[in-house]
Amino acid sequence: MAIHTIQLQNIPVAHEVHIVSFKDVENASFLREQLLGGNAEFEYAFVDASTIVSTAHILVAVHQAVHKLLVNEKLRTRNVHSEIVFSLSPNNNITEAFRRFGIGENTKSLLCVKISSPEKTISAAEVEKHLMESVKGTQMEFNESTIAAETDWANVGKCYKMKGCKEISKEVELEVLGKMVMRSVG
Amino acid sequence: MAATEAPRELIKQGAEALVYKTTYLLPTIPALLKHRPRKPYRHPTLDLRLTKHRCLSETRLLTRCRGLGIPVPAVYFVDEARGEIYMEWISGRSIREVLDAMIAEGRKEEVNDLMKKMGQVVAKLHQNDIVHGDLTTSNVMVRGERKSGLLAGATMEKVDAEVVLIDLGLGMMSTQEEDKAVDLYVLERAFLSTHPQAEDLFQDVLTAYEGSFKGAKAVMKRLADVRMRGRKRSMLG
Ligand SMILES: Nc1ncnc2c1ncn2[C@@H]1O[C@H](COP(=O)(O)OP(=O)(O)O)[C@@H](O)[C@H]1O
Ligand SMILES: [Mg+2]
Repeated sequence: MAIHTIQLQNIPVAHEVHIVSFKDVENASFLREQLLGGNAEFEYAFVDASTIVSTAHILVAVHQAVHKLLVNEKLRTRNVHSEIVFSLSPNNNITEAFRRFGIGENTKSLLCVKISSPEKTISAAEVEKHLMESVKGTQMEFNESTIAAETDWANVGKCYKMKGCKEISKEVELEVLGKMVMRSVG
Repeated sequence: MAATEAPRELIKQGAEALVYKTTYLLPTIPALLKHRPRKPYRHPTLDLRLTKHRCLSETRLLTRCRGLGIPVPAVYFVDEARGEIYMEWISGRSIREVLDAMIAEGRKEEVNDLMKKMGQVVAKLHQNDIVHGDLTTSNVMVRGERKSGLLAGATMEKVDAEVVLIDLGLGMMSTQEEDKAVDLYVLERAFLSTHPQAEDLFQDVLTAYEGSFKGAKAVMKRLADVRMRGRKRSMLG
């Protein structure tokens, strides 16, 4: 099974993070329509993986969104899953955040994140089954090298206003995280 | 509700903050947690506002420094309502301890090198109109290794003694030469009190500082005034 289930630090154990990664996705516009139409079966964070630079990058966004939910801070978006996408953004423009980091018509590599919570418990097997049925693409492991292989640095540069980065490094990773933190503190 | 509480080891209980070594996100990512607890004697509304303000101010300064390439810990996560900042764990020691060791072992060249770096880092801060606000020798760390990446290729790389500024809790933006001179003065006092033989050492810091940016000369001039006032004050007792 290539689904990756993570328990984040300082988040109640009843909240698990399921992540499935796909490349060569062919039905991005169908998936996007499900989100836009508010189809409850498709409550996922569908992230365009070309904008993601490392595994920690997406996990930081997940942590920020789940933390907000838990401390009852008002979410800026519809639910914790859309909040994950928003959390990736370096600024407070929600429309732009979805356009840049969320699934688009032409998304080829996709990260799907599902939060299992006490109110809506869902197992890794259920998530994987549903995604395997719904996403037309090649499932991949979620790890540093599969993420790195899909990163589009020109796109990352645009999204985070960073110039000249071509590969992941400590500085680049922390610079991206820094921009996400700054958004969260205004 | 049970949570995967990251283990915390208290490393300092200051007047304002509790400082822990802990982890962030995953058990493999070491982090420093700076927690400003509630002050029961303050009015709750005021208390919350002050806590938030200090957390955000420290976070903004740290982030600004990083953006400018000034070595400070990266901020990982902030919960300003609870008064918590998670930041990069710097594996190293305070410059005070490092200097002690270097001096005791007679590593003169390394000492000179370190002083020069110290002067350059403070210069970069001041050149960008950031004032540290509490520039003592415990608020400057020296690290000899660096973890490359949070998770991405999380390997240790050796670096040549790198100076890292910490604790910007009292920092601020300021264009005033006076504020910058006070930073230098505080640092000088800290050096002299921990390393009495340090008069020459601090001169090396100042030389490096002075050579590093255009406004440095004016700050140095101010430093003379600040010293004078300090001396008068201590004579008055
Ligand atoms: N990012 C860090 N990495 C490792 N140790 C740190 C870090 N920040 C602080 N420390 C250690 O914790 C101590 C207290 O932290 P500091 O931010 O200076 O708080 P305080 O305001 O109480 O002085 C420091 O003197 C240092 O030893
Ligand atoms: Mg301190």
